[in-house]
Amino acid sequence: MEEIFAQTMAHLGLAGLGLGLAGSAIGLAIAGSAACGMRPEARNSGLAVSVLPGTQGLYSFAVGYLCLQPLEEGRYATVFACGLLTGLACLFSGWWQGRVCASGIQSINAERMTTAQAMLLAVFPEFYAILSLAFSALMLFG
Amino acid sequence: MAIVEMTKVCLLGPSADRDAAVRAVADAGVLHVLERRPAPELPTELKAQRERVERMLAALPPGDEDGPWPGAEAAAGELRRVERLVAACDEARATLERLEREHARARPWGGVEPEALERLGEAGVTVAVFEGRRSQLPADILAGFDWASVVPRPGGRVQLWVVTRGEVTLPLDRMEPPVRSLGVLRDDVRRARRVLAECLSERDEAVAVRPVLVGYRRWLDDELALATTAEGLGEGQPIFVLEGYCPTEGLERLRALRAERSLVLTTRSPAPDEAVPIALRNGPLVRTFEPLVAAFKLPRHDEIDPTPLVAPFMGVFFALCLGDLGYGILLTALAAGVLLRARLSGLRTRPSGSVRLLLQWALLLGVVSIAVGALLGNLFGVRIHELLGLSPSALLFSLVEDPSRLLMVSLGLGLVQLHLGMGLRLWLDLRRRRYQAALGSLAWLMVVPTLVPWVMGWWPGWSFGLVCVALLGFAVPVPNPWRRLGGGAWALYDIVSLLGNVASYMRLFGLGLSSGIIAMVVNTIAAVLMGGPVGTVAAVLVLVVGHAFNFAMALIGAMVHPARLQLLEFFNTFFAGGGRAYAPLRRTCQGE
Repeated sequence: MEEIFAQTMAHLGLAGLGLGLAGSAIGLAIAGSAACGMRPEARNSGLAVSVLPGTQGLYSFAVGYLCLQPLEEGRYATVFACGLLTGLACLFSGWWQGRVCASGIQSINAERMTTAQAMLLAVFPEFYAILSLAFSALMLFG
Repeated sequence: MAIVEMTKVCLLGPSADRDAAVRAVADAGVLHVLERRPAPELPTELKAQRERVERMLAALPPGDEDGPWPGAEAAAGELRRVERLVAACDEARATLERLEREHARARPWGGVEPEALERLGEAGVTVAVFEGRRSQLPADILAGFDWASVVPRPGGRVQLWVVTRGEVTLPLDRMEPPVRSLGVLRDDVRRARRVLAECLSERDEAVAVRPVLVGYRRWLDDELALATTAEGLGEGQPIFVLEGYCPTEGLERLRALRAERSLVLTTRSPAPDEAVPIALRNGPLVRTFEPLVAAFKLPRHDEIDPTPLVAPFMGVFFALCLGDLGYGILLTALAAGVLLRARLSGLRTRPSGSVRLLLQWALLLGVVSIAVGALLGNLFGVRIHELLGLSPSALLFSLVEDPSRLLMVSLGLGLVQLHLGMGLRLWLDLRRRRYQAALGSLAWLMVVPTLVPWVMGWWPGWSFGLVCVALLGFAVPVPNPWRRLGGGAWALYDIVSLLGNVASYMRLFGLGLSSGIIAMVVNTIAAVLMGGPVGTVAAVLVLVVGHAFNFAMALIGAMVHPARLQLLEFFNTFFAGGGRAYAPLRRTCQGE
C-alpha cells in the first residue's frame, strides 16, 4: 500500500512538470503576441527576445528525463520533489518572463530600449528556473 | 586586439575647391568625416528623387538587384519610364474598381434597362427596389402599392420590388437605379480587367530595370552624402576644414590627395577620451562573428575587440545546445549547399552580403557541431556507440548514459569563460595604470577559486575573507570613502550574481539534453509505428517531420541562448563598449 502511494506521488511529481511546459507556452504566447505588433524594421530585434521563455519547458523536459532512472530505482520522494519544484518554478518563471519580454519588445519597438537591455531584464525571472533545474539535477544525480 | 588603429585627420583648403575636394576624399574612401551639429539639411531635390526611386522599387515586383550601371542620366530616364507604367497601372486599377462598384449597384436591378425606368418615370410611375431584413417589413406592405413583390435573399434578408404612382418612402435601404444597363457594365468591367492585366504584365516586364534603379538609389545616396558633407564647410570663409578619422594605414591615400589638390593635411593620435570610430579586423573565421558583437555594442578604441574571444565559445556553446551530430551534418550540408549553388550559378542567385555572412556562419557552426555532436554520442537520436559497437565510456560524454557530465562541462565552460573575462578586465586595468581598480579586478578573479575550496572544506576560509576585504576596498575605487565602502558592500552582495552567472551556463545542459532526448523520442515513436506498408510510411513521416521540427527548434535555441551568454554574462565581466562604427565617406556607385 505504501509502495503504491509512493509511486503515485512520484508520478504526480512527474505530472507537475507539465506546469513547466505550460509556463513556456504561456510565456511564448505573451511575448510572441507582443512581437506580432512590432514595426517591420524592428521585428528582427524583437524575435530574439520573444523566444526566451521557451527554455523553461526544455528544463522541465530535461528534468523529466533525468527522473526516469530514479523512478526505476524507487527514489519516489526525490522524483516527486524534483517534479513539483521544477514544474512550479518553470510555470511562473516562464509566464512572467513572457510579460517582461513583451514589455521589452514594446520598448524596443518604441526605440526606448536596446535588444541587449531587454534580454538583460528577461534574464532575472529565468534565473530561478535555472536554480530549480540545478537543484533538481543535484538531487537526481546525488 | 583587432581594432584598426585610427588617426585624427584635418584637411584644409580654399573654399573655392571645397566640392571637388570632398569628391576626391570620397574617391579615396578612407576618411570617416566627423558629424557636425546641428546636422545640415539634405538637399531637397536629391531627397525627393531618392523617394521617387524608393516608391518605384516598392511598386515593382521583387527581382535581381545586381546589374550593370548605365549612368545617372540613363537611370533617371528609366525611372521616368517605370513611373509612367506604374501610373498607368494605378489608373487602370482605379477604373476597374469604379466599374465593379457600379456593376455591384446595378446587379439587383437585373435586366431592367435605365431607359425603360426613365420612360416610366416620365409617365409618373415609380419603380423602386428596397432591401432589408424580413422583420423590418410591415405585415400589410404589399397592399399599399399598385404592384409589389417580396424576393427572399440569403441571411434572412428580403428584396422588395415596388411599382406605383407617386413617390415611395419606406424604412428600408433603397437601391440606387442603374445609370447603365448590366450588360454594358459587364462588358466594361471585362475590358477594364484586360487593360489592367496588360498594364501589370508590362510593369512586371520592367522588373529588368530593377538593378538600374537600385544602382540609381546608390548613386543618389553617394550624392546626398557628398552634398551633406560639403554643405556648410567653411561657409563664408576663405578656407574649408574637413575633420575626421582615418585608419593609420590609409593615410597614404590622403597624403596623395594633399599633393594632387594643394590641400593642407594635419594628423595626430586620438586622445583616450575621444569617440574614435571603430573598425574591426579579424581573420576569415572570426570575422563571421563580428555582426554578433556589433549587434550588441562595438568596443571603444581603448578596449579590446571581444570577437576573437566570442568566436570559439559561441561555436562550442551552439554545438552543445544543438546536441546532435546528425543535426550538425544537416546544418553544414544546408549551408554549404546554398553557398556552393550560389558560387556555381554565378551572379544571378548570389546571396546578398548579410545572407552570405549568415550562411558562412552557419557553415562554421555546423562544422563545430559535428565535432561536438560526435563527443555527445548522438546521431539523429541514435546512440553512436551502439552503432559502432563501442562502450559509452569511449565517448567523452554520452547524453543518455551520463547526462551529469554534460552538466559539469556546461558549468566548467561557464567558469572558464567568466574567469577569462575577469582576467581580461584585470589586464585592461593594468594597461590603463588603474592599479586600485586592478586590485578590485584581481579580487573578483579570486572569488570562485577561494570560495569553492572553502565551502568544500579543502581550504581554510581566510583566503576568501581576504578576497572579501579586497572587494570591499577596491571594487569601486573612488576617492570618497563612503561611496567606496558602499560600492564594496554592493560588490560583496554581487558575489551572488557571479554565482548566478555561472549557474546560467546550465542552460547549455538543459538545451542540449532536451534536443537530444526529443530526437530519441521521435525515433521511438517511429519504431512503434513501423510494420506493414502503412506503418512504414507513417514511421518515415514521423521521422522526417519530427526531426525537422526538433532541428528547427534546437537551431533557434542554440542561436539565441549562447548569444545571450556571450553578450550578457561574458561581456559584463570586462566589456563596456559603446563605440560607433567606422563609416568612411566613399562612393558605393562608380561612375557619373
